[in-house]
Amino acid sequence: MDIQQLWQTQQVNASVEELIAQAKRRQTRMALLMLLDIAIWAGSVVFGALFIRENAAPTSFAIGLFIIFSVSIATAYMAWVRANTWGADSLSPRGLITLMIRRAKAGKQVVTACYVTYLIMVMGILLIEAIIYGSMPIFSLLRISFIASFGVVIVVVGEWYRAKQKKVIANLTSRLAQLEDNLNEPNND
Amino acid sequence: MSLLQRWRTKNALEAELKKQLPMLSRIVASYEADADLQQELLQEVVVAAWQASSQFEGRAKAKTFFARIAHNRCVTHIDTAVRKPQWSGGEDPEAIVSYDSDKALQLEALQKQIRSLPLQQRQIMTLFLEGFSYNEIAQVCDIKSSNVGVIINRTKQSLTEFFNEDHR
Repeated sequence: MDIQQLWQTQQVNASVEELIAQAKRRQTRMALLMLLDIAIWAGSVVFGALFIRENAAPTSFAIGLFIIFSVSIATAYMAWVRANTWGADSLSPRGLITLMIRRAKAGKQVVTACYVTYLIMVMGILLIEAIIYGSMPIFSLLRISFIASFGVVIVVVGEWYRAKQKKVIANLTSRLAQLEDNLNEPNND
Repeated sequence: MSLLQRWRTKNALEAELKKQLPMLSRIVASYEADADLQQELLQEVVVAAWQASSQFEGRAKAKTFFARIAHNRCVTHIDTAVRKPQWSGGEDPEAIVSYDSDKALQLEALQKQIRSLPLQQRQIMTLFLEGFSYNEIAQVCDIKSSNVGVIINRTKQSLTEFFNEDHR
């Protein structure tokens, strides 16, 4: 039996035009999403700057700075994710899996970076406040509970994301090993 | 590359993509048994091929380029598929052209055999069944063509034995 001929008897059961039109729509949507990311970032930076300029409350500067920093980190992350996924499929299978492992590892590092950034930001903002207003920042119950609850949210989301990336790494590593192992199998022909 | 050249290449690639769609759907079928997931994955493959088309430099054949993208997308799709309910068995009859029920059964058996192969073997065999040369397969899978030959001979032999024993 000619298995090659048999294999090729299976035909596609979908509209080619519709699939390509869908691909084009997805690409346009991706470009629009990137523009939206930039627009949100620019809008938030302007809002943060205006908030600082208004100086309506003693904490205006700290809050404005917090908004600008948070939105810049989030936008940088989104840009990194989109840039890494665009067109990566044209790599070799091994290259693609290696890239995905690296991305997952980088994802784990991003979590640590987020924790450190949050800590630095909280300390930094308190320090800036102390320098600007010449007094030690007031540790009100509201402020402490805001810092603590925001910290808890970051840790919970961060640990969930880290666990997810760990699973992805394990899965991809075994797949990479499958690709490598197959080439090392003895030839019994 | 000028804008006009880019536009021409894109148009040529679109025509080629249309031509290669049956191959892409067969590659998808070598990874996914469920008809709905096959359809979803085929869409993903076409989107990925379209997105990557700007990176096509014409050094390899467009067919090779699309086959590589299809395999890559299918490999990464397994992550998504494992989170979904498992396939309960039985091919969707519409997924196979049943011009001949005997042929359809044989094709179903062949697809099952291909899906049961380890990843590298599966990739190489589907490309071989699509009529790619050893060098083209080596290019897509990024391995030596001598290894391609070894794997094809080994797998082809076991597939032929399977069909000779069970599906005469």
